[in-house]
Formats: sequence, structure tokens, C-alpha cells
Amino acid sequence: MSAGDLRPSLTGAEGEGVPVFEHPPALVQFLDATEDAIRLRLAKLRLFERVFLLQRDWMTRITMLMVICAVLWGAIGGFDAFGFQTSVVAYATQSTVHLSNVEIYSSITLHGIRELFGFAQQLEMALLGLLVVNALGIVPRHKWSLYSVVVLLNGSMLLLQGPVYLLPFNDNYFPALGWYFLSPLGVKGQSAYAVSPLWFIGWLALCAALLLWTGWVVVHLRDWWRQHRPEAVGRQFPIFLWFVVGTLILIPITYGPLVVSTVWDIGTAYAGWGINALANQVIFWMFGHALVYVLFLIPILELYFLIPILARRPIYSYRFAAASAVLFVLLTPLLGLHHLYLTPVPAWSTWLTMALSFAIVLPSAITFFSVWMTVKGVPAGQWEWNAVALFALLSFGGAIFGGLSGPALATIPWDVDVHNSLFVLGHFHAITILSIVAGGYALLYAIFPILTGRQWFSAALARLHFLFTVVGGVTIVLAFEELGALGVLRREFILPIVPAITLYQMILYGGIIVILAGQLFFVANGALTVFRGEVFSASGLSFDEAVRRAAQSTAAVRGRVPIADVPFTRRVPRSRRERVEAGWVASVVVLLTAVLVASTPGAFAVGNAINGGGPTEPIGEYVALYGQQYYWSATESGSVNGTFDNAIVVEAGAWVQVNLTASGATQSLLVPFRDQAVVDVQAVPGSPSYAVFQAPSVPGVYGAPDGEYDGPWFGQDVSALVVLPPANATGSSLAAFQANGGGGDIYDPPVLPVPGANLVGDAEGLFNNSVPGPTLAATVPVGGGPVAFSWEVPLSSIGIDNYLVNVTSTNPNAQQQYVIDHGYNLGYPVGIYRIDPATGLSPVTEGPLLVDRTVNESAVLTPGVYLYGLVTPVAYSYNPSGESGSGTGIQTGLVMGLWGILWVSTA
Amino acid sequence: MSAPELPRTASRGFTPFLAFGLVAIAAAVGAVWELAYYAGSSVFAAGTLGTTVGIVLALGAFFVWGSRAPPNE
Repeated sequence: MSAGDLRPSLTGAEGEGVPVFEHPPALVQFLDATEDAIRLRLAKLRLFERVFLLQRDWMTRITMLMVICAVLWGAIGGFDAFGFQTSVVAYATQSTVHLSNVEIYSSITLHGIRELFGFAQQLEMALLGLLVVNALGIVPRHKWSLYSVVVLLNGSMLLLQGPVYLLPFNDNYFPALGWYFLSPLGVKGQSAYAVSPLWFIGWLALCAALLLWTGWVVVHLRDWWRQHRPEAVGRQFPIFLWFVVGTLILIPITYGPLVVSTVWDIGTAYAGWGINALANQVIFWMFGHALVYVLFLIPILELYFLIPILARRPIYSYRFAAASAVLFVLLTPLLGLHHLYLTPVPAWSTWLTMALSFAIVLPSAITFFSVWMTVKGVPAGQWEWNAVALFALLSFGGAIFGGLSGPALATIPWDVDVHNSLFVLGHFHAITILSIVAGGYALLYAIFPILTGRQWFSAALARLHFLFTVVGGVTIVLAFEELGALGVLRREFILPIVPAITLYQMILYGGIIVILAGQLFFVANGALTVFRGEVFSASGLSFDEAVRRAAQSTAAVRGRVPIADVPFTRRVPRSRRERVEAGWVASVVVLLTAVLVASTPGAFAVGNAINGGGPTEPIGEYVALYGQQYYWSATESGSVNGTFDNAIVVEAGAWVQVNLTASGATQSLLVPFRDQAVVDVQAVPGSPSYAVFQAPSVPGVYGAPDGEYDGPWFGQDVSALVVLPPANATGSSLAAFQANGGGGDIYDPPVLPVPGANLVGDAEGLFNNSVPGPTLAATVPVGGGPVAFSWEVPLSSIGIDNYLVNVTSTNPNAQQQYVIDHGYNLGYPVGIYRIDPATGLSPVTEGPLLVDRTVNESAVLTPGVYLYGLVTPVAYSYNPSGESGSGTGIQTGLVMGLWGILWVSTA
Repeated sequence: MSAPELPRTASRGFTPFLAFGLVAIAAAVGAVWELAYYAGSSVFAAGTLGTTVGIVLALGAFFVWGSRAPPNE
């Protein structure tokens, strides 16, 4: 490429090129005049002039604006994660949690949205636009289209935040959904938690931004093609352009389904349309998964762009690299269903998705091999370890590290064990932080001097940035994967307080702090660069040389390796290189086929069971499980009969058939055993699903968290699989249960001996920071005997996050005042309830829920299993000052947390 | 701008090929170590062992083919 290729972004975008109109429309003239007036006024301030490059051409200005906005959203999104994890750690260490539940779950939602779209997507658009313009020597046009993209994209970030009341200040209408929102969660009329319409408008604005930007680039490519067709035909384009074109194809394929899914939700919420939650989710995930690859093309494109430039030789095999671009584009749109393996979709469809998910390993495998082989033969003295090379290296390693857990998650029988666990986030953050973000930084370090006209100020700051990003990123990923291996769910704020979980949560917290600190070095270096960096000149340089010079400004020793292009003559023929690459690809194909064959029986077993074709063992217990926000209602028949809230009661070793339905949100029956097969089936509203499993042979109380996020009371939404002793062994103790670690299920409530057990309510409305509350183990004579324990709900535990007091106000003392005004009596019935296998629950003791009083609960009990506490859900509605509604958001639900199991065995 | 052609001789020292290879090994070891927890469990192995073995063999093939490949010259 010639030096002239660099001109457009530096000088040529002010209309000297090809005019769009001889006389621009009045609106454009008005906008141009207004922009000039504002810009020239702001440019008088050095801060604005330097940071926003206000004296430069419009393409450079807009690109810089997008880079700054991207970094800003990235920083805010980083602090969202910090806020969420601060709350997790505070709860785990039993410190004060300063954010409300809505704020906590919103922070993790907005973390995803801001990082994925505000940061990564925007950065990709900024850099790709600039690369295309420079690489092809295009004079950019349609300034206001590009400005509109910036306004729409960043406006969408504001809309997705939802409404905030300034006076009195109330930000509890932030969206406590997921970035991967799962219809019907959040849809008014369909869910107990409904978000503001701004949420949906925000998604549409985001789609409009992406589609408009794609159109903007395509128009430029079309015009370039028309002008250069004669010389372009038969020319070998830079390989990274294949991936630019791939991105342009994928964006409409990706964001189109999001438009459909969002419009469907809007129609359901505000126009009375019918909804099919499962179909809507299938459509949404056509977006949700393809998005990952739209962003993953950042590091892929970065490697294909930068490595040949840094190595000063072409890519190892152009044809294989191009084939990988084609494969990425062909396979990406087809994989969304692998996020829905545990829903009642046909087994053949999930199997096919598994096969296609394995297939997309191929283009990644080609890429890693091609990139590695491209540097084979490059002498050490001809390679410079500047920040660009270091981040490229990180993106290469990160893609391998994160990518290798992809086939694991894509394997259906494996997914049952790790679905929605923090293991998934380990995979996801390895790809995002260590590959996508690293790739983005490699490009930024290479492009920023070209954009700003200034060399990087400090190589040391760049290296510190790299070091902190590596250490923080790897720490985060490993902590996620360790937590996932324990069976810990994603998006959980209230977690079992056990040493292993708390330790890894602390390590995760440390990783977040380290990586956030590292980004400060980048921001500081960027600011110092625009104000104090040496002037960067691309004059007389080729495009590749300019990139090398930019990269060299981040090297510890500048000038050690020459930046000049050198002639390159092929000595190893293409056939030899491609023979090896073909051998590698053939190896991968063979292995993928073998893995697919090995995984097929398990895949069909999982899929068929969810659709009602499970094992044909003699069923001992039938359970109709109805998932609501935020509890399960279980109606049982068989060896145990009755109806229970949040408890599934079965006999040890019995085969259990569960018929699942749900309303309000997708939910999941999850019993995260580690010593026996995990139970994990999703219940999607409107689509019945089924589970058949054998109950543990060891009687005890097994934790069963809702495996799917369903709104701001998700943390309280944990039920218990109560495994009774066989009828002839009533009165057996929990000794065997405790000895075997409760099946390795980390969600098992702790066991406390009675007498001596003292239960204390916490700010989340739980006993002893556990849901269900601690399992109380008492012993009595065979014929029965007295059992006594005490409990207390302190007044200090009453607040906005305690669902027990349904008073919502912007006054922080309103809940406690309500308790005082009602004589410390909340009226809800609490007591001890016997589980009678023949008839269900029956009260033994019962009285009103008193606050700030130590209540001594005592009764004469026979051996058996009992529930204690508040064993039915409490209705909750958030509506301070009448502010809640369809315009701002609705948060209601039936919440249950102040309860547990009392296990009475014979002495 | 004229410049001498790139040196073709085999290079000693910390070449980028070696660096990328070492990083690939580190990434592979880290990933397999995480996956091994599942493959090594008597409960999870049935669903995970096949994929894990496939990944390990693929990594072996990656390094074998990579070491055998002719340089990018």
C-alpha cells in the first residue's frame, strides 16, 4: 500500500474528494454549519482540541469520538462488575451490602451491555471503519450517517439503563435482567418483573446503529469497487479485508433477529400480541451467539492484519486464511440453539447444533495454525516485542485458552453439568478479556498514533497496562472456572457461605481490581499521548511501515528493529505449506468427527429426557413442578403426597419423574451434585419439560437453586430436595449425609445441632445467611420428645432488600418505621410443620412473625422431617411514591427465604 | 525506500515462533487442566471424557504439525 493510502483519515475527509451533492441539502448544510460553530468554539480550549482532535478531518474526529466513547463505556462497565462483586464479597463476608438487589443485578446486566456494545462493538466499528478507509484509500463520505451511528449507539446505552428519578433520587428502575434477556422476563403482562419501554427502544436503537454503520461501510466499498474494478479484479486483497467483509455480512444476520425478538416483546407488552417464549428465545439466541463471533472477529482480524505486518512477510497460507473467513460467516448464524440445550426443543435440533458447534472449531484451528506458522522463520532480531506484539500474543493465547473450553460447553452431556454455572463465564471471559479485548488493544496501540498524529508517550505505561491486563484477566478466568467446577451459578449474588466459594470470590474480586487498575495506565498513556506525545508522521511511509512506527513507540528500546518494508521472495512453495496446513485441518476434522460420534448417545439421551422420553425405570414419585417468580410449587403423588412450596420431597433411592411448567420467566430445576449425576432441566413458560432422575440413596437436605436468572429476587430462589429415609428407617440421622458431603452439592444448607441452634434473620430475609436456612438436626426418643430452638429477626435486618416488609419508599427508614408502627408483628404465620408422606404438610406450632424479639420455638416431636419458619411465599411489590408502572418498571413477586428443614432423628 | 532482503537463516534466541508456541502450550495446559477436573470425575467422565481426549489429541496434532511445517519463507 502506498503512503497516499493514509491520507483520507489524516487530511482528506473534509469534502475535497468526491462530493456527494453539488449543493448539499439544507439540513446537511445546517448541521455542517452548526457542527463547525460548536467545534471551532470548543477547539479554543486545548483540552477539547487535543482530546477530540477538533482541528482534524471529520473521519478522524468521529473515529476518535467513538474510541473515547468506547473507552468510557468500558470503564463504566468495568466499575459495574466491581460494584456487583463488591456486593457478592460483602455478603459472603457478612458485611453491609450497600446496593439494593435491583442495583446489584442491574450492575451485572449493564456490565455486559456496556462492555459488549458500548466498548467492544463500538471499538470494532471505529477501528474497522478507519482500516477500510485507509487500506483502500477511500475518501470517506456521508459524515452525518456516521455521526448518526455514534448518536444511536451511545444513545442506546443510555436508554438501556432505564429511567432514573432525580428528585427524590431513585435509580431502582435500572434493568435487572440479563444482557441476554430471556423472554418473557421483563415483558409487561407476562412477568412479575417488567422493565421500562426504554429497554426495548434501546435495543432497537442499538440495532439501528449497527445496521446503519454496516450500510455506511458497504456504500464505500461499493463505490470503491465501481471505481477500481478494472485493476481490482484478480488482485489479492489484504487477508484482513476478508474478515472485514465477513463482519459486514454477519452484522445484519446477527442484529436482524434481535429486531424481531425485541419487536415481538414490544408487541406483547404494549399491543396485546401473543407470545411464544421458547420461539422468542430461539430467535434471540440467533443474535446472542452470533454477537460473540462478530466481536471475536476483532482478534481474528487483528491477528491476520498485524502479524504479517510485524513479521514483514505474508500470511502462511492465504487460501486457508480466506477459507476460515468463509467458514466463520457460514457457521456463526447457526449456533444459537446451543444456549438452549436444556429446554424442550427437539433432540435432533440440539444434536445438529452440537455438530455445527464442533464444526466452528475448524476456522479457529486454521487461524491459530496460520498465525503461528506466519512467524515461523522470523529471526529474533527482526521481531520487536512492543505493546502491539504483546497484546497480539495475548489475543492469540487467550483465544486458544478460552476456545478450548468451547467444545466442552458445546458437548450436550457436558453442558448439563456446567450450564449457567460460572464455568461458562470462565470460557466467556477468557474469550472476551484475553482475546477480544486484547485484540482490540493491539489494534488500538497500532492505530492510535496514526489517528492522533502523536507517538505513544510511554512504553513503560503500555507494558504496565499489558501486565495488569494479563494478571487480572487470567485471575478472573481461573476464579470463574474454579467456582464453576464447584457448581456455583452465574449471576448469583447470594451464595452459600463456605470457605471454598468465599476464597475464589475474593480472588475474583482481586482480579477485577487488578484489571481495572491496569486500564488506568492505558487511559493515562492515552491522555499523555495526545497532550505530550511526540509528533507522529506517516509522511513517506507505506501503510505497513506507519503501523510499525506506531507500534515501535511502545517498544522498550526504539529503533532496534527497522520499520522499513523489505522485499519478500517465496522460497517454500505454496504446495508444501498448504500440504502441512491441510494435514492439520484433516487431523482436526477426524478428531471432531470422533468426538461427535462419542457424544451422540449422551446428547440424544439428554434431549429425549427433557421432551418426556427419559429412563423407563419404575417411578416412585411423580412431581408436578410449577415455577413462579420466585419459588417452585410442587404437587406430589407416590410414596410422598402433598403440596410443598420450594421443597421437593422424595424417598431415598426412588425414581422421580418431574413435569415442569413455569410462568413469568424461564426457570430451571437444578440440583448441582458433584458426587452423582447433576439434575438440570429448564422450564420455559408455555413449553412443558420433563426430568427423570434417581433420588440420592443417602437421606438429607440437598440444595436446589433455580438454575436460571428470573429477576431481582433470584438470590432467594433456592429450593430443597428433601430426601426422606425409607419408610422402614424413619428416624435415621443426618450422619451419613454429612459424611458424604451431601453429594458434593455446594448449595446444601449447613447442618446445625439442636438444642443450641440460634437462627438470626439477615437483610435479605434469610436465616443465618443461608437459603434454605440451616438444617436443624435434633434427636428424640423413638416415641418422641421435646425439641427447642430460638430465632430472631432483628429490626436492623429490615430494609429495602428485605422482602418481609412490603413497604417501598425512598425514605431509608420507612420499612423499620412500618415494623414499629405495627407493634413489631408482621402477621405472617411461622412455625414448625410436619412432612407427612401420606398427606403433606401439617402445622405443629404456628404463630405470627415477630421482629426484634427472640422467639423460643419448642414442641414435642416424633422422629421425622419438618419444615420450620415462614414456609409459604410472601407477596412483594416495589412501588415507592407510586412511581412504579409500565413507563418506569414493575417489580412484584412471591418471595420465600425465611425457612428451613428440621430433621428429627432417634437418639 | 530500499532495504536489504530479510535474513533467511535459522535464528537462535527467543524467536516469535518460539514465543507463540510457548504461549500456545501455556494456554493449552491451562485449558486442559480446567477440563481435566470433569474428565477425571467418575460422575462427569461419561459426558466429558470423549471431548477432553479429542481436545488433547488435537493439541498434540497442532504442535506436531507446527514443528514439522516448513518456515514461512
